[in-house]
Amino acid sequence: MRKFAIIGFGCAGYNGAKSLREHAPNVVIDVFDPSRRSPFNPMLSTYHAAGKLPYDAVFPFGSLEEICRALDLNYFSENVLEVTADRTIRTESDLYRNYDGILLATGADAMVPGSLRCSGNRWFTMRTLDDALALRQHLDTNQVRSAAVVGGSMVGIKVAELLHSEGVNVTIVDAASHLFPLAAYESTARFIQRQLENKGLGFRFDAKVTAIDEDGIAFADGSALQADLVCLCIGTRAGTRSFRNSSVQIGHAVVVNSHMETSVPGIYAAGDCCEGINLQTGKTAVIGLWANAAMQGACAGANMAGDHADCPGNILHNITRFFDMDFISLGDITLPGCKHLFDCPEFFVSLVMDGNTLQSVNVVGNYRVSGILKHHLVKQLTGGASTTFTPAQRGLLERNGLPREFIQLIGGSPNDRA
Amino acid sequence: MKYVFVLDESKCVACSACAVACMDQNDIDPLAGDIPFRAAFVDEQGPVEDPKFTFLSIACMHCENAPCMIACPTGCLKKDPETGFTVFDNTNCIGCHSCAMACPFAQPCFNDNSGKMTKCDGCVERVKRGMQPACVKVCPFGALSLVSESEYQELMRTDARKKISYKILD
Amino acid sequence: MTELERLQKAKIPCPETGIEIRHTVCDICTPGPQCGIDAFIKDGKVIKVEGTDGFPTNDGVLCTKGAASRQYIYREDRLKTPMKRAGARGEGRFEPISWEDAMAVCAEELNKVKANHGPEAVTFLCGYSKWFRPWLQRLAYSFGSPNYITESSTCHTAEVMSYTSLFGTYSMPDLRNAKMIMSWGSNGVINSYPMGRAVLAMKAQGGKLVVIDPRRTHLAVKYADLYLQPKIGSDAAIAHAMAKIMIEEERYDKAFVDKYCYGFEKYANYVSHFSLSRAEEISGVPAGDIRKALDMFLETDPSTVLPGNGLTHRINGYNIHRAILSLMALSGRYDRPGTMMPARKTLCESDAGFDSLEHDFYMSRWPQNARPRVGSERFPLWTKLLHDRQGQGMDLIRHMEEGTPYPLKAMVCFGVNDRMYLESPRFLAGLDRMDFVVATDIFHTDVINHADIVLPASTSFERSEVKCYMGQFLYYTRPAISPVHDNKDDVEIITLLANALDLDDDLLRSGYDKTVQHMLSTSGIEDWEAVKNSPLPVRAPNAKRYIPGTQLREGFKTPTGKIELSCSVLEEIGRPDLDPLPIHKSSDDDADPAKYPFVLMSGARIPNAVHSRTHNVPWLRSLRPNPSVDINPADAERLGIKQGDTVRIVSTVSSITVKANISSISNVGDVNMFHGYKEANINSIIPVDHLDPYTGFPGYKQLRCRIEKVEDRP
Repeated sequence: MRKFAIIGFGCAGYNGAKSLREHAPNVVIDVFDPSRRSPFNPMLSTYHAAGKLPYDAVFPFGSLEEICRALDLNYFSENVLEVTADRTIRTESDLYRNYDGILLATGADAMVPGSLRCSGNRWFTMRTLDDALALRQHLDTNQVRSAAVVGGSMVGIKVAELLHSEGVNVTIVDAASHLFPLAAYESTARFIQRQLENKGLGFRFDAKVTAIDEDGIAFADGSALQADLVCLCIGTRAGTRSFRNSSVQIGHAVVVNSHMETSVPGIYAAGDCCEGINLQTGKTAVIGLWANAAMQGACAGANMAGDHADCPGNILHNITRFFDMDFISLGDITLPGCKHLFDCPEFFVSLVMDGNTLQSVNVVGNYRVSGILKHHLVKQLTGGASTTFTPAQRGLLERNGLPREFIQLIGGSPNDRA
Repeated sequence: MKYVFVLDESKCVACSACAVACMDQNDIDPLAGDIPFRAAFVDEQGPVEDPKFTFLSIACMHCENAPCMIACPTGCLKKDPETGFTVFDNTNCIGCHSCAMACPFAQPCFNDNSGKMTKCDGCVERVKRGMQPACVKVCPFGALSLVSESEYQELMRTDARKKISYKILD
Repeated sequence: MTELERLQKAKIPCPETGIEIRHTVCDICTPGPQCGIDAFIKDGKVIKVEGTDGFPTNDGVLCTKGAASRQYIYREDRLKTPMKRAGARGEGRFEPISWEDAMAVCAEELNKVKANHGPEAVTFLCGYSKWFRPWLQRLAYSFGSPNYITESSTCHTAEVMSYTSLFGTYSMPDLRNAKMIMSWGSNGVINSYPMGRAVLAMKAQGGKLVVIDPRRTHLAVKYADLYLQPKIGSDAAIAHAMAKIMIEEERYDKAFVDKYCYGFEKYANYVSHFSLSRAEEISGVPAGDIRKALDMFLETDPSTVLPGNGLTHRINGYNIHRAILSLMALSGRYDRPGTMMPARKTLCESDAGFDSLEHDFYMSRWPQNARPRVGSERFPLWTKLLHDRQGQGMDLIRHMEEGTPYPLKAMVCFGVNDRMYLESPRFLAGLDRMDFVVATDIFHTDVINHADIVLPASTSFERSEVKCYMGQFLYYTRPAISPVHDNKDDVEIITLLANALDLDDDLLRSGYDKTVQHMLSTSGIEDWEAVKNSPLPVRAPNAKRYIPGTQLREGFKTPTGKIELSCSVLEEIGRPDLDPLPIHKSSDDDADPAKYPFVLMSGARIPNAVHSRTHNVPWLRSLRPNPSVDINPADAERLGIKQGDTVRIVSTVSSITVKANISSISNVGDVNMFHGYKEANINSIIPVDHLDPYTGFPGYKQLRCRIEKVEDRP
């Protein structure tokens, strides 16, 4: 009987196991994860910390026991310390096992750079549920008047929102020159910043943090920011430590092809620990998204079972709701092209076109157009730059407030008219 | 039995009776900014002398591999095993809008009152009791229908007229 | 969610949820096609509606408007109690009053006007809905006033006049048996979906459809085998060119014409001046297309024209409509299946397969010695042709303002909509000249604000009534819900008025059930309770299917006894401006084309509205929130107007500000605007005398105007 290992049990690991079980009902599946927690989306940590989601509701696929029973999984609550090229693993308890296939799905951890000096117990990260519980407990037991959130991206902004809603005076600190440096055009970021300033948030950009201690933050320029609490939200790092000796190719994360296979045959990777194909650049990149992890995991599981599934890649995309505002970013904002803007009192859509090709999009205040634009962007990359909107898409975009001229600009054919 | 919503485009005049029936069935309040789960509209393209009109009624396609379901971090969305509809229980919805960005048809919508997402449930409780979805029932021209998987295959095989369902839009 | 919660949320009618279905009818549009409704009732309230399966008109489906019935009956602006005016006229300040007191005031004021100025000084004016019309007409006549006027003065009566002058009776195309339809100015799929469905059913069976319409309608772009897009108001020239071909190429039905038609020589001589090239020049339709349309019409038998009501909304509209009908006579397509058929009316314009006593019900009370009714001298054809003796309301504003030939002093309004009147503010000003105005309505309309006494009426859901349906059906509803407020149904109100006025009319004073059963005593029905208990319409014992050819055999009810290609009534009237022949004449007004380069068309239906009655229904309004004017893309580009821009429509008398909807539904040079909006009332910019001299009908669908872009931002 064939045997498979799944290392890490988040969204990618779960979907890998599920798909593998669907395609291969009779194989052995061992799952290694030290957390003893059911798979969940790390993004929910802030929601849980904010009290918006009860503990049990964090786990969309049910309890670990139910999942293991339903998918017939052997769950090992320990870390895998090493994976070798011959598909052997070594665990914390010195368990050695050889497998027919391995899925690496260790996800990513909150990044705390080694160069940063952190001391005291008033600083936090926000990735795991334990992070959320720690922050929650601190807020509940201490009087926190001021806070600094280091990192002005998706996680940082949600943490800032949570703190702000509890009456904390929040300053967002980022090494970049504006909010959402990877997702927002500067103009979008400034717009969002203005909205947040109106709500009383403070900002400090181009700021290199050198130390965090009981008093707050020290910056490279010698200045300091007083804060009762600091939350570090500067991104994640793929959990690849245990694969370093496996001869699996690793860049920022484990590199995979469109079948989710690593450079070592039989070893697959999915989710935040891997670099799938970025459709826009053709290169591999981490696209750390729940749905992406699900699709990658499902693809890897099918291929491990011997099927031929394809995961053609994805684009960078994100939707975040904070302070009753929706911010959507689609595509790689660094790609060149001509910038276009549609602005009205209710929302704005800003985008970059290279000729007829849509490169990237920022939307604030209109989530309803996001799915169509994202679909269009992906279709363009898989079906050719001449991809035009269908009548249904045009109608839906217009119904949701985009002017005809703008719709025509993004996805009109030469025969169409605005 | 799994079902497929089919729009026979040749019969639709975008009169929006379907949208109104949806609002009646689901107590949608446009004055509060809510919109129906189904929308009808006319698309006009081509040269001014010879314009091409398309009349459409669009709602959730209840996709087989529903991208909204995959995208939801709290597991609010699932496929109803009996009907195949993409149904939801938004108790745990955090309003993150991930489902909206995943949907190619702009279907999930956010309810400002509840702070939760919502969408067409295919009138699943009606269908389970042998009734038609409200939009299908009202359609004055029979443009909308709900057919079983097998009827759908037969329809696609025998009827060349333009039909819209998730199968051909995907 | 529990199972019960799921059932309740899904509004499943069953014992567990306590939701039950009661049957009623929709009352939003005109009585003919009104659909059967299943009202889902929970705790005495309607929580949802659906079409009634098996109902003759709709068989389970509903239109856009009917589907919104729940919000319609629970509209916020429903009148909730009788009221009397507390502020100045038009100010809208009222205080509640009891029904008894309201009736006492009405009786006193109306009898005072009668005593001082004669009964004619009281006008009985009827708008929507229409179900109570025979009762209001009898009330007027029993009171002694000949001035019973309806909004059919702008809507349906010109059509009736056209049919009557040709065929002696109202007629209808037999769409169900036709194999080819020439839909002329009618967008059936939107304005009346049962009619649209009949057209599409004909197509589905392999029939051909020609659409002639200045607007690129749903029917035109989607279903037409051939589409002709004439300039607005040029239709008679096209019809005449077709007639000329038929006559000169001897393709008309000579035997039929010889036997059944009057005035052929004159008519043939007249149309001989309309060559195809002249018709092309006038209409802008290629000569080849006109011929092709005629060929399709003649080469298929049976075939019929389907003339739209809107054809009569031009100042030569009556002639246009007659010119088109003449083609039916010429081709021998009358009174046989699949062609034009004589229509019978049992009750409220609808046919249940037998002749009722409706006409006699009100005409028996006709005030013999009263002074001439409103409009009767100005529009003599109206007066001589129509059997039911309504006044022509389009002369009302003049009559109110000038007070000639006698002053009007009081108005009894039932569902009256001032926005149906040209230069509408003058209508409201006319009301303010009255000594007394009582207004009944379901909703708090503009007219309500100008009334002294206000009476709240009920919807079809709250009352019991009889409706007649094509196919010899008759339906007697029971109330689906109790009155939503302290309102009464219109006939109840009329009955109260008749009693308060102490009229010498015991039958009218006896109430709805007795009067309607009296009118329908010819039905053969004896057990009316059994009819009321039927969930679906029933056939009356005396209902008979019309046997095609009966009219041909029995002769036409025209003065000549024949189909009149030249109208003998007009010959007799002998006024030089009223030609007995259906002449082509420009319907253009004399505004300077340089200053007013566009032609405005108003009133063509949109799916979510009927006149003003659904603009305040949020579900329906949300489908097209802004009053907007359809402008052709080429015109829009030339004027620098984009979708959603604010524009002003300017006529010689006034202007309104609306949004631009860029669509080639409008021809180049034409603009199209739906009517009845409070904030953008298109009829307010049409001059009050822009009327068809034959019928008095307003030229809603052809008026010179200008489009100006309005800069939104300061």
